[in-house]
Formats: sequence, structure tokens, C-alpha cells
Amino acid sequence: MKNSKFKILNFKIKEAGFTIVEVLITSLIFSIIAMTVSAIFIQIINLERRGFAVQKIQDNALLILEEMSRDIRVSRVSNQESSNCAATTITLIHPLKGTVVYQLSNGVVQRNVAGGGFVDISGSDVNFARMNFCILGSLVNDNQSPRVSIVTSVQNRTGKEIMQIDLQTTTTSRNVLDEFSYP
Amino acid sequence: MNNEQKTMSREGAINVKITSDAHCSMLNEFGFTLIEALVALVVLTLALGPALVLSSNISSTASVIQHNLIAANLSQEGLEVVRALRDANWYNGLPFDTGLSDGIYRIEWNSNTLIALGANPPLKLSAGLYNYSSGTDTVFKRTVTITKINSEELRIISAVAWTERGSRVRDVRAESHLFDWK
Repeated sequence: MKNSKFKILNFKIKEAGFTIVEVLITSLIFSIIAMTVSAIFIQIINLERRGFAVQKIQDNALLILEEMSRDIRVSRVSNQESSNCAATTITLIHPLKGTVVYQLSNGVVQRNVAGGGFVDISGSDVNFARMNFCILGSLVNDNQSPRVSIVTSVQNRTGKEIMQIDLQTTTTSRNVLDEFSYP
Repeated sequence: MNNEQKTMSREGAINVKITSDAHCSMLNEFGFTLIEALVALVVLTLALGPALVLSSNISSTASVIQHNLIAANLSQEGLEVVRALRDANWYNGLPFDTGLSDGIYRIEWNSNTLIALGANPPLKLSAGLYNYSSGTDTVFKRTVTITKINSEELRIISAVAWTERGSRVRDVRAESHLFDWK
């Protein structure tokens, strides 16, 4: 401190500290670094949200497809041919539960068990934008097992970025009633 | 410092100037040296590198999860369609493995027979429906491998393979055994 005091008194001495140019360059560099870092941070946050959305879609899609596949596997799927995948509802005659109907309502999958009314089975935070059934072999004595392909597109409802996952799976019914008991 | 302070207190400001100039020119302390700047850049890069790696990892993980989910369902479909073919053989009074000889094939949701593998084109997506005839190509390629273990048992392996960004090949496989139990 003594040193600088002496320097200020003597005008010929080069002053210590930063010049305006140095300060400007420093703040320029600092702001570039700060912007880069925050851009990366924002990108990571966005990706994290995206991952979270995919996870929600996955949770719902897995549940719905599993529930449907389990029901289709044991049920009689009678006279509902839909070789162009136009069917949006499916009626299954379940050996234990009775008649089970699946349908889509405003992006939510609903199930009606034994005429007890439709109940939501997918979450409200995902949107089933498409739910079609391709049904083959459901006719009486057509010498085929009923084969149901579930075609669905699932989106997240919340968040900036809307992701869509197009899913499809097929289940063959193990139920042979339509091939033998209904001649 | 002790020496300098003594000089100052004894001889005053004029001497300080000389001391100060001599000090600076001898040690050349103005600004950063090239080495210092380089070291600073290396440190900065080391700090930013992991952040960038992290962000690209998160991005590819979301994509892998998504593709895994689709592929798992598509591979399940392969198994179920082969089962439907086995059942149809029975209904038509044929041996259970008619048209299901050993080999690698393709299959789609409405197949009534196995499709020759050929060049194994990717599945197409048309209005949500994965098939081989119409729509835009997806990344997924499905194969169905049939092995006759013995006269009453077939092993079916349905594999869906795809290439992630960065040319990493991934696949999902499902296995099922079909028996001649009728």
C-alpha cells in the first residue's frame, strides 16, 4: 500500500491496475465463457426433460400393451376382422373377466370389464395419439388363430418438446373356441 | 520487500521509480505469457469437456431407451406371428412345422408364410404400422431364426437390430419354443 501511494504521487510512474481495454477484453472473454457454459447447462436440462418425457411414455406404453396382450392371449376375439387396421376398439371375450372392451377417449386408453363402464387405464400426462387394432383370423372356422396387432403412437402432453413413440406389437390368441366349438 | 521498503523510507519517491522500473524490466511481469494463456485454456477445456460429454450421453440414452421400447415390442410380434403360423398348420391338418424349416427369415404382422430374408430391408412405418410394403424406412431390421431342436420342438429367436447414432449397433432378442403338443 505504501508503494502505490508513492506511485500516485509521482505522475511519471506507470499506474498499477488495469486499463479500460484490458477490462473490456477480460469481460468479453468472461461473457463468452459464461454464455458457453450456460448454453451447455440449458442443453443438458432440456435433454434431461426429454429423457423424463420418454420415461413417462415408456411407463404408460408398457403397462397398456402388457395389459392388452395378456387379455388378448387368453380371450376369444370373435368376428372382428380388421385387415386394414381401421378398428379403434376391440372386444375380447375373456374366460374369467367376461367381455372386455378397450377404446381410446381423448388420448386416454379406457377399459370396460363385463359392462361395468369405461375406466381410464393410462395416465393423464401422456397422449395416445393413435390406437388401432389390426385383427386377422377372428372368423369362425377360418383355420387361423386370432391375431391382433396393436398399433399405437404415444406422446407426452407436458413439456416444451412433444415426443412421439410409434409402437406396435402383435399377440396371437391361444383361444381356439372359434375354430372348434362354433361349427 | 524489506529491502525495498527500507530504500523508500530512506530515499523517497524518486528512488522508488527507479527501483520499480528496474524491477519490472528485469522480471518482465506485464501481461500473460503464452504458456500461462495455454495452461488457462487447457484448464478451461478440462472443465467444459465433461459437461459436453454428459450432454451428449443424456441425448443418446434417451434415444436408446426409445428404440429399445419399440424393438422389444417388434421382436415380440415376430414370435407371435410364427406361433399363429404353427396354429394355422394344425387347423389345416398339417404337421406343426410345415413351412417352418430351419433358417433365418423375415416376417410381418399379416404374414401367412415366412418371408425370405433377402437383403433384410428395414421395416417401414406407415400411419403407425410397421410393415415391409409401404411407408418410410425405419432403423429397425427384424429377423426370425428357426431351429428345429427335435421332432417336437422348434426354437424361435426373433431379433430386432438397429444402429444408434455413432454407428453403434444394438439389438433386442426374444426367444420362444413351440411344441407339437396337439
